[in-house]
Amino acid sequence: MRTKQKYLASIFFVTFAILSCTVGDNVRKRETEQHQQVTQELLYGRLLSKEILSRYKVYNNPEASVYINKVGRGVALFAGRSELTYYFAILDSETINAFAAPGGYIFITKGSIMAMENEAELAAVLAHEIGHVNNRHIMRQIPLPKGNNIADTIASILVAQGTVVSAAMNETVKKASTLLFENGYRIQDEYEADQSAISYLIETGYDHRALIQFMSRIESIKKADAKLQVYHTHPPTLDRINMINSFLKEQNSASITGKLVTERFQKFKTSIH
Amino acid sequence: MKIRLLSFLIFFSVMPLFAQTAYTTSLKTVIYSEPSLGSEKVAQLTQGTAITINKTHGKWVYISSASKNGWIQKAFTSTVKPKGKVSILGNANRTSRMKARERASSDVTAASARGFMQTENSKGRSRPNQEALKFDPADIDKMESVTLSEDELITFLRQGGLLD
Amino acid sequence: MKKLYTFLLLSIFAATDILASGLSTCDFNYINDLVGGRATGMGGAYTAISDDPSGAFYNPAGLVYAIDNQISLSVNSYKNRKSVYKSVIGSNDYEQEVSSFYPSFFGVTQSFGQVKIGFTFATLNNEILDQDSYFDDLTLPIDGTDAPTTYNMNYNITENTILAGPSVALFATDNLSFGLTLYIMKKAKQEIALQMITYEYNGAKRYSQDSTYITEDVWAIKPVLGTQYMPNKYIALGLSISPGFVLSHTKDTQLFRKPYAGGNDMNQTNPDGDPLITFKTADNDIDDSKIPTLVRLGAAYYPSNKLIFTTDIIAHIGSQNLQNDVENTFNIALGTEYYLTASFPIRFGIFTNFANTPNIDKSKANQEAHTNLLGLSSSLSWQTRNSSITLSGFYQASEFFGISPLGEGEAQVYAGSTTVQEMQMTLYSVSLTGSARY
Repeated sequence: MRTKQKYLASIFFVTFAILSCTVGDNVRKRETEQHQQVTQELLYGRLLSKEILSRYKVYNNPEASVYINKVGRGVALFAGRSELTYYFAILDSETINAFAAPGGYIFITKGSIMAMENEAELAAVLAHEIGHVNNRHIMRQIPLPKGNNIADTIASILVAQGTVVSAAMNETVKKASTLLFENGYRIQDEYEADQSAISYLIETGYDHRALIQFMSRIESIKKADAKLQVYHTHPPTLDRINMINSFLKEQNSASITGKLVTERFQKFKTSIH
Repeated sequence: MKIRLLSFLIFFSVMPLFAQTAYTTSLKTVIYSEPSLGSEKVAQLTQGTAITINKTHGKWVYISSASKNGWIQKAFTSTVKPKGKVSILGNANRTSRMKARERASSDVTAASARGFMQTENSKGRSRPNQEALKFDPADIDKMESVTLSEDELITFLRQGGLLD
Repeated sequence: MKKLYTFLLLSIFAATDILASGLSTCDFNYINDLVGGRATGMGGAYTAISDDPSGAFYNPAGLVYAIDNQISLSVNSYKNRKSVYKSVIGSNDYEQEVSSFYPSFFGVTQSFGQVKIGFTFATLNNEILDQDSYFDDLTLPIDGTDAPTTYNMNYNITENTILAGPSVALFATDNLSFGLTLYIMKKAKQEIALQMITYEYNGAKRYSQDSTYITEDVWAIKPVLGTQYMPNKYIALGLSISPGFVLSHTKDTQLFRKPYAGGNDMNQTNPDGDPLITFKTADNDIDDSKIPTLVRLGAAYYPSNKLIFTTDIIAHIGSQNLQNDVENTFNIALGTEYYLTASFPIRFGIFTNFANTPNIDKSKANQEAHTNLLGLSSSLSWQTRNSSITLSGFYQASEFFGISPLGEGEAQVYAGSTTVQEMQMTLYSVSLTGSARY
């Protein structure tokens, strides 16, 4: 009996040892893979941001910039994906629109902010954009070109601190531009971003109803002023509101409360007038 | 009996290696009693807490942690332990000097340069080269230069009455 | 006519002296060519920039700022140098024109981790002189009569100096970088001169013949050690030093001279007892050959991504340039680059190219020509993120619209004579460069 016990014990130790070694290697491998994937995302997003910044001028106001980054990054703390640094910028445009590029580059127009009443609404719109980033909507719909290009590109970024971009990458970024400025995301992705936004708002402590409130207000503004340029790349507002309401119902969270935070937002809004 | 005990031990020592080990990624992640945002809050986990994912239900996962078990949103978990930010920006000092050497042509693609000769034919889009002209690398630099520590963000949230 | 007579007689008796004192003056100014299309456009004031493959020549420390990997080729360069010696043949000027078409530069830079590696090849000088002179209406006064004379001279010089070698550059701190280029320098020069004079005297047609062949080869090591400092993102300062170490310098000569009085007997002598016919060959290893040290000090100002202002001080320190006695020479260059649109940069530069020979002392003879040149340069590129084509060129001259801003050029054309002639020189070059980033 003792020999048999010893035999089984040794199998136990060997199996455990082998498996833990493999697991250890797997962990390291996963970490490197994740690092690589995120680096690719950042490259993609940065290039796409350059496209966005070619069409819109940045609204240059350092204090406003800090405020919007505080709100945005504050929400991001509760949105998962701790490996990303989110960058927020205000675009100098009277239109009502917001854009997100992979890796966490998020842009919102001055016109959008002017149409908001409180910080929760701002957080809601930023949370929606963070939702696009965290769910990798652009990466999934217009993926990076396959093949050696990317490995070489990443290598040269890490090594040469340059911005080598292959023709294939250029094409990809151009397609992503078209998505942002003309065609829009897939409807499913917009609904998913809305749902993520609700989650992030609840986790952070903002009043999640701000999202629907802002959307409704924009809808009425649009009806009143047909010339005002509002994001035309989103699905109809009513559908979005309905989807959100179904989600809230399913999640039993319609009655969850949160903060609106009006005072410091109004100060911010006045400062950028 | 002893054989059984040993096989039991082997089985259970190996088991955890096959169930999914993961970590929480948000600053604080709430564990719920049901896979629903409206259900009772069981506990709050700090960032980087090791958890085991036992089953999945839509966008939620049922997890067990050192302290409590319950449901959390899958989006707030990762198989990789949160380590810090991933960046492609490199050393700030050196990068700013290298960037100073980049000339205005750095963002002109061959396609947009060709656009200088041709006219875009549809949709009335502005010609790409004009967009390249408008882009000022300082804009993206400024965007990336805003640094805020986690403490600053937490203070900001608290001041807004957002963190309990 | 008298002057021509003197010229010819002296050239008959002292052919090699004429050649040695060199109507060809490419050795008497250091800046015979500018390396790289972008640097050329900015007058060669590149020491504080040097952030592309041509930087290996000016200041390898700048290579750390070369973005991504780069390759640059200038395979179509045309250069033309014209020297005019005023009133040398009677009231006529004597002109010498040299031109050539050659590949002037090739370079690559590549990143290896934190270090930049490069390899470059540059043609510093490439000249082919092919000159034929024929005069058949001359007379030589012999024994009181005027003998009809023809004069025939064929003069060929080819000269080529190239540099080739690897470079390495790295950051020491975030704003200070160092670089080293290890160039091998090779200079090859060949001179072939044939002079033939025929004249009629006492019913006989006599001739006098002279031929000279010189071939010269120099191998040297010419490292470039450089540093660049960027105190902030607007200013760059650069310093590079390039000494030369001659590894071998050989000069093989062959001289054959048969004056009119000589026959076929090589032992004939003149009344003084000197041999009439000369046939000499010599293979010489020149032991104490030196190359001056080149020191470049530069500054550049980068106010935006569209504009650069840059200036260089270029010093050649040394009293000997191979076999020529030279003086320390200081030159200055100024340049600017401006992006008219994101794809069209234009560049302008102005630079000096002082003679490295001493000022001509009117009491001495056989001195080397001394002509200072002022240069203007420009280049235009069609540029995208990853590639560019550049058309560049410079024009150097001793005189612009009748004014010699750096003084009149002077030469002593006649061997053994203290007379000084005015000399004018123009030197221009056009180059097409293609570059890519990858």
